Amino acid sequence: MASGDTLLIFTPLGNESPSSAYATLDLRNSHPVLDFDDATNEYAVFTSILPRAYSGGGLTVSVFFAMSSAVSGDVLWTFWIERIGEIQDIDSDGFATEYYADPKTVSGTSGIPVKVVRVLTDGARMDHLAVGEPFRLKIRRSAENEDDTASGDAELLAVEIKET
Amino acid sequence: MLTDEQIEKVRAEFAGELSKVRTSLSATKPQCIAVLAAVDSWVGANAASFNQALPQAVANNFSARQKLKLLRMIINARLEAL
Repeated sequence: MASGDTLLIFTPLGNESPSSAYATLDLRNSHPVLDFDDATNEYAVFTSILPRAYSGGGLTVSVFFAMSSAVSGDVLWTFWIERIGEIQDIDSDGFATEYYADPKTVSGTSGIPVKVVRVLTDGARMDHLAVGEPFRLKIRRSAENEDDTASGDAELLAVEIKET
Repeated sequence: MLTDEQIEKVRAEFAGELSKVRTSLSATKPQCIAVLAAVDSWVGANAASFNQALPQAVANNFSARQKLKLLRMIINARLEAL
């Protein structure tokens, strides 16, 4: 598969909520969104299989989000990959190191989504995930970090994973 | 004066209310904290003035907590009237 081609798409309805500190499913004008609090770190988790079309170029994760009320400030997002494959005991978590995106300035209109991007190079940053293997993507709004300055909920609309 | 933690709790509550009804707010979290700290400071600085504005004959019959509740209820009523 060529660089830049979409591999996977996740939407809020596919979230596998953690047992605590989870983003909350909400509707905005009939759009399902995941609300991430502005005071407490909250998480969303998605499971998939790395498509066989992936050719080793690394993954670029893009999150599209709007804000419930804020029209200024930044939101800080963090990402993890957990390779499940045939090695991870699913009775426990095995997420690799966390990777931050640069703080993303919100739209001047709260309902207009903006896109934040984080590149995860092939190898350790992808938890050595290989094609055809199941994995999980964990996403956090790092609301407790001082670089996260936007007030109110961030609303995750969709996630794209493409080959870098 | 409220502590930093108390101010942050009020800020989060304020932001949560605005988020629930999706009302736009052009202020960051640090800016909201600065505003709330200023409000808290103003309340502290004007507490004596507020106390003196009450009818003195009965003012002493109210505890400090009761007076603050009265102030909150009047502010709430004014807010509802907006």
